[in-house]
Amino acid sequence: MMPFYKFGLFGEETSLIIAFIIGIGFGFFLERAGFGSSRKLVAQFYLTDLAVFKVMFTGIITAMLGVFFFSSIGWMDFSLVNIVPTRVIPQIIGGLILGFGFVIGGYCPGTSAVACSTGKIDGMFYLLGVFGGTFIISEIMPYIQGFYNMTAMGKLTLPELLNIPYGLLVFLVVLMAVGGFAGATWVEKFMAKKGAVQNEAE
Amino acid sequence: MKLSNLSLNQKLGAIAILLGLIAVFMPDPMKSNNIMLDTNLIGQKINDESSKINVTNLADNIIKGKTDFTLVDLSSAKVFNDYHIPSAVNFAISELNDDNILRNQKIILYADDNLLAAQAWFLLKAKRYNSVYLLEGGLQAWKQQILFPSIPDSIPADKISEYNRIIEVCKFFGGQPQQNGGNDLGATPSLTMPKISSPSAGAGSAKGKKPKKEGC
Repeated sequence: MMPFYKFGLFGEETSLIIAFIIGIGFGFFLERAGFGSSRKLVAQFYLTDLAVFKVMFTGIITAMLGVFFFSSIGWMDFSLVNIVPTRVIPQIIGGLILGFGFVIGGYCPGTSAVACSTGKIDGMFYLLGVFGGTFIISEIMPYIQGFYNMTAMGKLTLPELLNIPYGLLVFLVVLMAVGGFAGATWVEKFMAKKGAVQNEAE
Repeated sequence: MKLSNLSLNQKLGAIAILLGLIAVFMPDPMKSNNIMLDTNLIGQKINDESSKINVTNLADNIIKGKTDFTLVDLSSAKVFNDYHIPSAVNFAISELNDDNILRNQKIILYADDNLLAAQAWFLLKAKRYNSVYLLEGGLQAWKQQILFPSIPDSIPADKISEYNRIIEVCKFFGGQPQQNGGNDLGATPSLTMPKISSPSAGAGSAKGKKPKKEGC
């Protein structure tokens, strides 16, 4: 029965080894998808290469369908899957900071580790920045507890928020993803044509 | 449009939409409070007493400073504050549904009343907690055997070390050995419960400590 760790299939020490192996796999597939390159990552913000959107959403849909169906057939206890608590304003501000950093630096925290491991110096500096930022936030956390906990809504899920069944939400998210992929492909082709026209004009 | 003409991405998209459509008609996994019980396994656990721990073993583990278990006192808060076995945490039986106790810890349940502990044991086993144990005899057994053990006036030579050990354990937990075989707790008003000082709650205790954070 999943989650395996919660049901005592392995202990804390073994869980760290498993996390390490999963981390290797995650880094491997990120690098193979080309996400060790800041040019490819930032290209999504210029709408010329939306591979990040497609790859990440593929992972989300696969995991969502897996979790839902495993829970429905009794292979997983859904109530034991960790859900990060929702704190609206801190998370919006944190997302904005992450977005700014992503566009300016060309990486997100995970992909900076990938870039660092493939020898990219900008990735190394970005990763140093990640550690620095993590250190700073942990040191100032006692002073910003009020802000950190504001607009807390607990462990909230979309079905609870929208008051719709989980299955319906799964279907809607799948539709959104498939529509998003089709839209992303169209946008990439449009931007490629626009780029070609501009090059011809020049 | 023939299926063979579709690209791999299009086929995967179609599969995802199909699964999403199936999901609409499936039961909500979060709203189900149904459980599946292996009655044979539970019956076996009850029969062979492998789900019980006696007070002497518990006392030894506490003295040795073992922290690989969570000792749960199911009494009311008032009773718990009056006295509880050192290192215990207090949960009402209704709070056992809130996943406050880590599943990977060994959980030892007790109360003043054996029935309450048995109910809690069944509830946790039904929620598929693996390592759940009952403290045999509950708090009453703890009081009779650990805090206020009965010591005969004349101890046989071969039993001296055993009784010395009992007295040491008793004093460790702040108890009073009872001479002349008297430890009728109801009829002896002079028996006062010791104050809790140490050891403190073990690493396995969940309540009152910062909850273990998960995820990133």
